[in-house]
Amino acid sequence: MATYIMLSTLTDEGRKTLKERPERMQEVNREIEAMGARVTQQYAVLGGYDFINILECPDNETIARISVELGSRGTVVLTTLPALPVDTFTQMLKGK
Amino acid sequence: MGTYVVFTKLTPQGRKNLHADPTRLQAVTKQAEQLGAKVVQQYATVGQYDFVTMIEAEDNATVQLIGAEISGLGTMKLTTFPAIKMDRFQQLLKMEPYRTEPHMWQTSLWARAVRRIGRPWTTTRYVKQYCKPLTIEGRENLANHKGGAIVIANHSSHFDSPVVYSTLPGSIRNKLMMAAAADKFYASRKKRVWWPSLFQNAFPVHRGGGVKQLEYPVSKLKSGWSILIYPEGGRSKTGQFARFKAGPAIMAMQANVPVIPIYMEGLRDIMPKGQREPRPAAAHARIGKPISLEGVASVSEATSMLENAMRELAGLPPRRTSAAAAAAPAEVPAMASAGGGAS
Repeated sequence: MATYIMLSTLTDEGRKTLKERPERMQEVNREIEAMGARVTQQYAVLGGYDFINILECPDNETIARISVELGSRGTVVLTTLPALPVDTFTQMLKGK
Repeated sequence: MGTYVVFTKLTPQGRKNLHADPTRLQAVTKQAEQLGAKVVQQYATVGQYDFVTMIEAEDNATVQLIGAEISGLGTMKLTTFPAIKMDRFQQLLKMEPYRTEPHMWQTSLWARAVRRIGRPWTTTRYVKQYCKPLTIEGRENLANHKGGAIVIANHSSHFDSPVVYSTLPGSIRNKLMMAAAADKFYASRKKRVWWPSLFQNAFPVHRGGGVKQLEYPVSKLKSGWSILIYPEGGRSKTGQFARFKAGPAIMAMQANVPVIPIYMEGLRDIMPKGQREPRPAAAHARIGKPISLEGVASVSEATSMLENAMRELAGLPPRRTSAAAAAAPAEVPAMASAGGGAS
Protein backbone atom coordinates (compact mmCIF):
# COMPACT_ATOMS: atom_id res chain seq x y z
CA MET A 1 0.00 0.00 0.00
CA ALA A 2 1.28 3.45 -0.86
CA THR A 3 0.54 6.63 1.03
CA TYR A 4 -1.09 9.70 -0.47
CA ILE A 5 -1.83 13.06 1.00
CA MET A 6 -5.02 14.62 -0.23
CA LEU A 7 -5.55 18.32 0.31
CA SER A 8 -9.17 19.28 -0.01
CA THR A 9 -10.87 22.61 -0.36
CA LEU A 10 -14.64 22.77 -0.12
CA THR A 11 -16.68 24.56 -2.74
CA ASP A 12 -19.69 26.68 -1.76
CA GLU A 13 -21.88 23.67 -2.37
CA GLY A 14 -19.65 21.53 -0.13
CA ARG A 15 -19.73 24.05 2.69
CA LYS A 16 -23.50 23.99 2.64
CA THR A 17 -23.59 20.20 2.81
CA LEU A 18 -21.11 20.09 5.67
CA LYS A 19 -23.10 22.55 7.73
CA GLU A 20 -26.35 20.74 7.12
CA ARG A 21 -25.00 17.24 7.57
CA PRO A 22 -21.62 16.98 9.34
CA GLU A 23 -21.79 13.19 9.25
CA ARG A 24 -21.44 13.40 5.46
CA MET A 25 -17.65 13.31 6.05
CA GLN A 26 -17.86 9.77 7.42
CA GLU A 27 -20.04 8.66 4.53
CA VAL A 28 -17.44 9.90 2.08
CA ASN A 29 -14.74 8.03 3.98
CA ARG A 30 -16.77 4.84 3.66
CA GLU A 31 -17.21 5.42 -0.06
CA ILE A 32 -13.45 5.84 -0.40
CA GLU A 33 -13.01 2.49 1.31
CA ALA A 34 -15.43 0.92 -1.10
CA MET A 35 -13.19 2.13 -3.93
CA GLY A 36 -10.15 0.36 -2.48
CA ALA A 37 -8.39 3.02 -0.43
CA ARG A 38 -8.47 3.86 3.26
CA VAL A 39 -8.39 7.20 5.05
CA THR A 40 -5.89 6.78 7.90
CA GLN A 41 -5.91 10.31 9.23
CA GLN A 42 -7.89 13.41 8.72
CA TYR A 43 -7.57 16.96 9.96
CA ALA A 44 -9.59 20.10 9.45
CA VAL A 45 -7.13 22.95 8.91
CA LEU A 46 -7.16 26.72 8.87
CA GLY A 47 -5.46 28.36 5.93
CA GLY A 48 -5.30 27.56 2.26
CA TYR A 49 -7.11 24.24 2.52
CA ASP A 50 -10.07 22.94 4.48
CA PHE A 51 -9.00 19.37 5.14
CA ILE A 52 -5.89 17.29 5.00
CA ASN A 53 -6.40 13.59 4.54
CA ILE A 54 -3.82 10.85 4.61
CA LEU A 55 -4.82 7.85 2.54
CA GLU A 56 -3.50 4.36 2.09
CA CYS A 57 -4.10 3.35 -1.48
CA PRO A 58 -2.70 0.54 -3.68
CA ASP A 59 -1.63 2.66 -6.66
CA ASN A 60 -1.86 5.91 -8.60
CA GLU A 61 -4.74 4.66 -10.73
CA THR A 62 -6.95 3.95 -7.74
CA ILE A 63 -6.28 7.34 -6.24
CA ALA A 64 -6.93 9.01 -9.61
CA ARG A 65 -10.28 7.26 -9.77
CA ILE A 66 -11.19 8.37 -6.28
CA SER A 67 -10.13 11.88 -7.06
CA VAL A 68 -12.29 12.08 -10.16
CA GLU A 69 -15.24 10.44 -8.43
CA LEU A 70 -15.20 12.83 -5.47
CA GLY A 71 -14.34 15.86 -7.58
CA SER A 72 -17.21 15.21 -9.98
CA ARG A 73 -19.76 15.96 -7.28
CA GLY A 74 -18.78 19.59 -7.22
CA THR A 75 -18.50 19.79 -3.45
CA VAL A 76 -14.76 19.62 -3.09
CA VAL A 77 -11.57 20.49 -4.99
CA LEU A 78 -8.77 18.01 -4.40
CA THR A 79 -5.01 18.13 -4.73
CA THR A 80 -3.28 14.82 -4.22
CA LEU A 81 0.38 14.36 -3.37
CA PRO A 82 1.97 10.90 -3.51
CA ALA A 83 3.86 10.54 -0.23
CA LEU A 84 6.57 8.40 1.30
CA PRO A 85 7.31 8.08 5.01
CA VAL A 86 10.39 10.18 5.63
CA ASP A 87 12.41 7.29 7.05
CA THR A 88 11.93 5.31 3.85
CA PHE A 89 12.84 8.40 1.88
CA THR A 90 16.10 8.89 3.80
CA GLN A 91 16.96 5.22 3.34
CA MET A 92 16.41 5.63 -0.39
CA LEU A 93 18.69 8.66 -0.56
CA LYS A 94 21.41 6.88 1.39
CA GLY A 95 21.14 3.72 -0.68
CA LYS A 96 21.57 5.35 -4.08
CA MET B 1 -1.63 21.51 22.79
CA GLY B 2 -2.48 21.89 19.13
CA THR B 3 -1.89 19.99 15.94
CA TYR B 4 -0.30 21.68 12.95
CA VAL B 5 0.42 20.59 9.42
CA VAL B 6 3.63 21.95 7.93
CA PHE B 7 4.28 21.91 4.20
CA THR B 8 7.93 22.17 3.28
CA LYS B 9 9.48 23.18 -0.01
CA LEU B 10 13.26 22.85 -0.24
CA THR B 11 15.30 25.72 -1.66
CA PRO B 12 18.13 24.92 -4.12
CA GLN B 13 20.52 25.14 -1.16
CA GLY B 14 18.37 22.69 0.79
CA ARG B 15 18.38 20.27 -2.09
CA LYS B 16 22.18 20.38 -2.25
CA ASN B 17 22.45 19.76 1.49
CA LEU B 18 20.06 16.85 1.39
CA HIS B 19 21.90 15.31 -1.52
CA ALA B 20 25.21 15.58 0.30
CA ASP B 21 23.88 14.32 3.61
CA PRO B 22 20.47 12.61 3.76
CA THR B 23 20.55 12.54 7.59
CA ARG B 24 20.10 16.35 7.55
CA LEU B 25 16.38 15.64 7.63
CA GLN B 26 16.57 13.96 11.01
CA ALA B 27 18.77 16.78 12.30
CA VAL B 28 16.12 19.33 11.39
CA THR B 29 13.40 17.21 13.00
CA LYS B 30 15.48 17.02 16.15
CA GLN B 31 15.95 20.77 16.16
CA ALA B 32 12.20 21.30 15.90
CA GLU B 33 11.67 18.91 18.80
CA GLN B 34 14.16 20.81 20.91
CA LEU B 35 12.18 23.98 20.25
CA GLY B 36 9.05 22.35 21.66
CA ALA B 37 7.29 20.55 18.82
CA LYS B 38 6.56 16.88 18.63
CA VAL B 39 6.77 15.41 15.15
CA VAL B 40 3.86 13.02 14.82
CA GLN B 41 4.22 12.04 11.20
CA GLN B 42 6.35 13.04 8.29
CA TYR B 43 6.12 12.24 4.60
CA ALA B 44 8.20 13.06 1.58
CA THR B 45 5.81 13.97 -1.22
CA VAL B 46 5.77 14.33 -4.97
CA GLY B 47 4.15 17.51 -6.26
CA GLN B 48 4.04 21.09 -5.10
CA TYR B 49 5.66 20.34 -1.75
CA ASP B 50 8.63 18.21 -0.81
CA PHE B 51 7.56 17.23 2.69
CA VAL B 52 4.38 17.19 4.71
CA THR B 53 4.78 17.01 8.49
CA MET B 54 2.21 16.75 11.24
CA ILE B 55 3.44 18.26 14.45
CA GLU B 56 2.03 18.87 17.88
CA ALA B 57 3.00 22.05 19.69
CA GLU B 58 1.89 24.03 22.69
CA ASP B 59 0.51 27.05 20.82
CA ASN B 60 0.71 29.17 17.68
CA ALA B 61 3.64 31.17 19.06
CA THR B 62 5.76 28.04 19.48
CA VAL B 63 5.05 27.06 15.91
CA GLN B 64 5.94 30.53 14.67
CA LEU B 65 9.22 30.40 16.55
CA ILE B 66 10.07 27.02 15.08
CA GLY B 67 9.10 28.23 11.63
CA ALA B 68 11.34 31.27 11.96
CA GLU B 69 14.27 29.25 13.29
CA ILE B 70 14.08 26.57 10.65
CA SER B 71 13.36 28.69 7.62
CA GLY B 72 16.19 30.90 8.86
CA LEU B 73 18.55 28.13 7.83
CA GLY B 74 17.78 29.12 4.25
CA THR B 75 17.28 25.55 3.14
CA MET B 76 13.51 25.38 3.08
CA LYS B 77 10.30 27.37 2.85
CA LEU B 78 7.54 26.42 5.23
CA THR B 79 3.78 26.81 5.04
CA THR B 80 2.00 25.94 8.29
CA PHE B 81 -1.68 25.28 8.89
CA PRO B 82 -3.24 24.93 12.32
CA ALA B 83 -5.19 21.67 12.25
CA ILE B 84 -8.13 20.25 14.17
CA LYS B 85 -8.56 16.52 14.65
CA MET B 86 -11.55 15.34 12.67
CA ASP B 87 -13.68 13.99 15.53
CA ARG B 88 -13.27 17.27 17.41
CA PHE B 89 -14.12 19.20 14.25
CA GLN B 90 -17.32 17.19 13.89
CA GLN B 91 -18.24 18.13 17.45
CA LEU B 92 -17.59 21.78 16.71
CA LEU B 93 -19.83 21.63 13.65
CA LYS B 94 -22.70 20.29 15.71
CA MET B 95 -22.29 22.82 18.47
CA GLU B 96 -25.02 25.41 18.65
CA PRO B 97 -25.01 28.87 20.15
CA TYR B 98 -25.91 28.91 23.83
CA ARG B 99 -26.58 31.28 26.67
CA THR B 100 -23.73 31.83 29.13
CA GLU B 101 -25.31 34.52 31.29
CA PRO B 102 -27.11 33.29 34.41
CA HIS B 103 -30.69 34.37 35.05
CA MET B 104 -30.14 36.76 37.90
CA TRP B 105 -33.70 36.40 39.18
CA GLN B 106 -33.19 32.75 40.03
CA THR B 107 -32.43 33.44 43.69
CA SER B 108 -35.18 36.01 44.18
CA LEU B 109 -38.03 35.27 46.56
CA TRP B 110 -40.65 34.65 43.88
CA ALA B 111 -38.39 32.18 42.04
CA ARG B 112 -37.69 30.33 45.26
CA ALA B 113 -41.40 30.16 45.98
CA VAL B 114 -42.22 28.85 42.50
CA ARG B 115 -39.49 26.25 42.81
CA ARG B 116 -40.74 25.16 46.21
CA ILE B 117 -44.31 24.78 45.02
CA GLY B 118 -43.22 23.01 41.86
CA ARG B 119 -40.84 20.60 43.54
CA PRO B 120 -43.18 17.62 44.00
CA TRP B 121 -44.00 17.84 40.32
CA THR B 122 -40.52 18.66 38.89
CA THR B 123 -38.36 16.46 41.09
CA THR B 124 -39.84 14.37 43.84
CA ARG B 125 -42.31 12.40 41.75
CA TYR B 126 -39.56 11.24 39.40
CA VAL B 127 -37.35 10.11 42.24
CA LYS B 128 -40.28 8.24 43.79
CA GLN B 129 -41.22 6.66 40.50
CA TYR B 130 -37.82 5.48 39.33
CA CYS B 131 -35.54 5.02 42.35
CA LYS B 132 -36.78 1.75 43.77
CA PRO B 133 -35.64 2.09 46.43
CA LEU B 134 -33.42 5.12 47.10
CA THR B 135 -31.17 4.39 50.06
CA ILE B 136 -29.12 7.11 51.69
CA GLU B 137 -26.09 6.60 53.87
CA GLY B 138 -24.04 9.10 55.85
CA ARG B 139 -26.64 11.81 56.47
CA GLU B 140 -25.23 12.11 59.99
CA ASN B 141 -22.05 13.55 58.43
CA LEU B 142 -24.00 16.73 57.71
CA ALA B 143 -25.50 17.06 61.19
CA ASN B 144 -23.12 19.84 62.21
CA HIS B 145 -22.97 21.54 58.85
CA LYS B 146 -24.24 25.09 58.44
CA GLY B 147 -24.22 27.58 55.58
CA GLY B 148 -23.10 27.27 51.99
CA ALA B 149 -21.09 24.40 50.56
CA ILE B 150 -19.92 22.92 47.31
CA VAL B 151 -21.61 19.61 46.72
CA ILE B 152 -19.70 17.30 44.39
CA ALA B 153 -20.91 13.99 43.03
CA ASN B 154 -19.98 11.43 40.43
CA HIS B 155 -21.97 11.94 37.24
CA SER B 156 -23.38 9.21 35.08
CA SER B 157 -26.95 10.24 34.34
CA HIS B 158 -29.28 13.21 33.93
CA PHE B 159 -31.08 11.58 36.81
CA ASP B 160 -28.21 12.35 39.19
CA SER B 161 -29.34 15.87 40.05
CA PRO B 162 -32.84 14.99 41.31
CA VAL B 163 -31.29 12.23 43.42
CA VAL B 164 -28.66 14.52 44.95
CA TYR B 165 -31.46 16.95 45.61
CA SER B 166 -33.50 14.34 47.49
CA THR B 167 -30.44 13.13 49.37
CA LEU B 168 -29.50 16.44 50.94
CA PRO B 169 -31.07 17.76 54.16
CA GLY B 170 -33.52 20.65 53.81
CA SER B 171 -31.07 23.26 55.06
CA ILE B 172 -28.85 22.73 52.01
CA ARG B 173 -31.53 21.68 49.54
CA ASN B 174 -33.54 24.86 49.92
CA LYS B 175 -30.53 26.94 48.97
CA LEU B 176 -28.96 24.74 46.33
CA MET B 177 -27.90 25.89 42.89
CA MET B 178 -26.73 23.60 40.10
CA ALA B 179 -23.94 24.11 37.61
CA ALA B 180 -25.31 23.07 34.23
CA ALA B 181 -23.39 22.69 30.97
CA ALA B 182 -24.34 25.72 28.89
CA ASP B 183 -23.98 23.91 25.55
CA LYS B 184 -26.48 21.29 26.71
CA PHE B 185 -29.04 23.02 28.87
CA TYR B 186 -28.88 26.59 27.61
CA ALA B 187 -28.74 26.08 23.82
CA SER B 188 -30.37 29.14 22.24
CA ARG B 189 -32.64 27.05 20.04
CA LYS B 190 -34.48 25.81 23.13
CA LYS B 191 -37.69 27.70 23.65
CA ARG B 192 -37.49 27.61 27.42
CA VAL B 193 -33.92 28.33 28.47
CA TRP B 194 -35.33 29.82 31.67
CA TRP B 195 -36.79 26.48 32.66
CA PRO B 196 -33.68 24.95 34.33
CA SER B 197 -32.94 28.30 36.01
CA LEU B 198 -36.39 28.48 37.50
CA PHE B 199 -37.14 24.87 38.41
CA GLN B 200 -33.70 23.37 38.99
CA ASN B 201 -32.04 26.60 40.11
CA ALA B 202 -29.37 25.86 37.52
CA PHE B 203 -26.95 28.35 36.01
CA PRO B 204 -25.00 27.94 32.78
CA VAL B 205 -21.34 26.95 32.84
CA HIS B 206 -19.50 27.39 29.57
CA ARG B 207 -17.36 24.24 29.58
CA GLY B 208 -13.69 25.04 29.07
CA GLY B 209 -14.48 28.73 29.55
CA GLY B 210 -11.87 29.41 32.24
CA VAL B 211 -11.91 30.87 35.72
CA LYS B 212 -14.14 33.85 34.87
CA GLN B 213 -17.03 31.38 34.82
CA LEU B 214 -16.67 30.98 38.56
CA GLU B 215 -17.35 34.58 39.57
CA TYR B 216 -21.12 34.17 39.70
CA PRO B 217 -21.18 30.93 41.72
CA VAL B 218 -18.50 32.22 44.11
CA SER B 219 -20.57 35.34 44.83
CA LYS B 220 -23.59 33.11 45.52
CA LEU B 221 -21.54 30.84 47.80
CA LYS B 222 -20.46 33.86 49.78
CA SER B 223 -24.07 34.78 50.39
CA GLY B 224 -24.92 31.37 51.79
CA TRP B 225 -26.03 29.38 48.75
CA SER B 226 -24.70 25.91 48.01
CA ILE B 227 -23.57 24.78 44.58
CA LEU B 228 -23.91 21.31 43.10
CA ILE B 229 -21.23 20.66 40.51
CA TYR B 230 -19.97 17.50 38.87
CA PRO B 231 -16.19 17.82 38.98
CA GLU B 232 -15.61 15.38 36.13
CA GLY B 233 -17.10 17.99 33.79
CA GLY B 234 -19.60 15.62 32.17
CA ARG B 235 -21.33 12.30 32.43
CA SER B 236 -19.24 9.14 32.53
CA LYS B 237 -20.20 6.46 30.04
CA THR B 238 -18.26 3.65 31.68
CA GLY B 239 -18.88 4.43 35.34
CA GLN B 240 -15.20 5.13 35.84
CA PHE B 241 -13.98 8.38 37.30
CA ALA B 242 -12.55 10.94 34.92
CA ARG B 243 -9.93 13.39 36.22
CA PHE B 244 -11.51 16.13 38.28
CA LYS B 245 -11.57 19.66 36.91
CA ALA B 246 -10.15 22.40 39.09
CA GLY B 247 -13.36 24.48 39.26
CA PRO B 248 -14.88 23.05 42.46
CA ALA B 249 -11.64 23.43 44.43
CA ILE B 250 -11.11 26.99 43.18
CA MET B 251 -14.65 27.98 44.17
CA ALA B 252 -14.42 26.36 47.60
CA MET B 253 -11.11 28.07 48.32
CA GLN B 254 -12.25 31.48 47.07
CA ALA B 255 -15.53 31.42 48.96
CA ASN B 256 -14.04 29.58 51.93
CA VAL B 257 -16.75 26.92 52.10
CA PRO B 258 -16.44 23.16 52.69
CA VAL B 259 -16.95 20.52 50.01
CA ILE B 260 -19.50 17.75 50.52
CA PRO B 261 -18.79 14.63 48.45
CA ILE B 262 -21.65 12.33 47.47
CA TYR B 263 -21.08 9.03 45.76
CA MET B 264 -24.03 7.54 43.90
CA GLU B 265 -24.55 4.02 42.64
CA GLY B 266 -27.19 2.54 40.41
CA LEU B 267 -28.07 5.67 38.45
CA ARG B 268 -26.57 4.20 35.34
CA ASP B 269 -29.26 1.52 35.53
CA ILE B 270 -31.98 4.13 35.69
CA MET B 271 -30.91 6.36 32.84
CA PRO B 272 -27.41 5.93 31.37
CA LYS B 273 -25.88 8.47 28.99
CA GLY B 274 -27.51 8.23 25.58
CA GLN B 275 -30.83 6.92 26.87
CA ARG B 276 -33.88 9.16 26.97
CA GLU B 277 -36.40 7.18 28.98
CA PRO B 278 -35.65 6.26 32.60
CA ARG B 279 -36.48 2.82 33.96
CA PRO B 280 -36.88 1.88 37.62
CA ALA B 281 -33.84 0.54 39.51
CA ALA B 282 -32.28 0.67 42.95
CA ALA B 283 -30.20 3.76 43.74
CA HIS B 284 -27.82 4.30 46.59
CA ALA B 285 -26.24 7.55 47.73
CA ARG B 286 -23.38 7.81 50.20
CA ILE B 287 -22.67 11.20 51.75
CA GLY B 288 -19.12 11.82 52.93
CA LYS B 289 -17.84 14.13 55.63
CA PRO B 290 -17.58 17.78 54.58
CA ILE B 291 -14.02 18.52 53.47
CA SER B 292 -12.47 21.80 54.48
CA LEU B 293 -9.90 23.18 52.04
CA GLU B 294 -8.69 25.81 54.45
CA GLY B 295 -4.90 26.03 54.50
CA VAL B 296 -4.41 23.79 51.45
CA ALA B 297 -1.48 25.19 49.50
CA SER B 298 -2.54 24.85 45.88
CA VAL B 299 -5.59 24.25 43.72
CA SER B 300 -4.12 21.08 42.26
CA GLU B 301 -3.48 19.70 45.72
CA ALA B 302 -7.03 20.56 46.75
CA THR B 303 -8.40 18.97 43.59
CA SER B 304 -6.57 15.73 44.25
CA MET B 305 -7.82 15.82 47.87
CA LEU B 306 -11.38 15.97 46.55
CA GLU B 307 -10.67 13.29 44.01
CA ASN B 308 -9.30 10.93 46.63
CA ALA B 309 -12.15 11.65 49.04
CA MET B 310 -14.57 10.69 46.30
CA ARG B 311 -12.61 7.56 45.44
CA GLU B 312 -12.62 6.58 49.10
CA LEU B 313 -16.41 6.93 49.21
CA ALA B 314 -16.58 4.70 46.15
CA GLY B 315 -14.28 2.17 47.81
CA LEU B 316 -11.44 2.76 45.35
CA PRO B 317 -7.74 3.20 46.18
CA PRO B 318 -6.45 6.79 46.02
CA ARG B 319 -5.07 8.05 42.74
CA ARG B 320 -1.29 8.04 42.49
CA THR B 321 0.45 10.91 44.26
CA SER B 322 1.45 13.99 42.31
CA ALA B 323 5.08 12.83 42.22
CA ALA B 324 4.03 9.62 40.52
CA ALA B 325 1.77 11.55 38.19
CA ALA B 326 4.67 13.82 37.20
CA ALA B 327 6.65 10.74 36.24
CA ALA B 328 3.86 9.74 33.87
CA PRO B 329 3.22 12.83 31.73
CA ALA B 330 0.65 10.93 29.68
CA GLU B 331 -1.95 11.88 32.26
CA VAL B 332 -3.92 14.92 31.22
CA PRO B 333 -3.58 17.62 33.85
CA ALA B 334 -6.81 18.50 35.58
CA MET B 335 -6.19 22.19 34.99
CA ALA B 336 -6.93 21.87 31.27
CA SER B 337 -10.19 23.62 31.85
CA ALA B 338 -11.17 25.29 35.04
CA GLY B 339 -14.89 24.81 34.72
CA GLY B 340 -16.39 21.48 35.54
CA GLY B 341 -20.12 21.29 35.04
CA ALA B 342 -22.80 18.88 34.06
CA SER B 343 -24.13 17.42 30.89
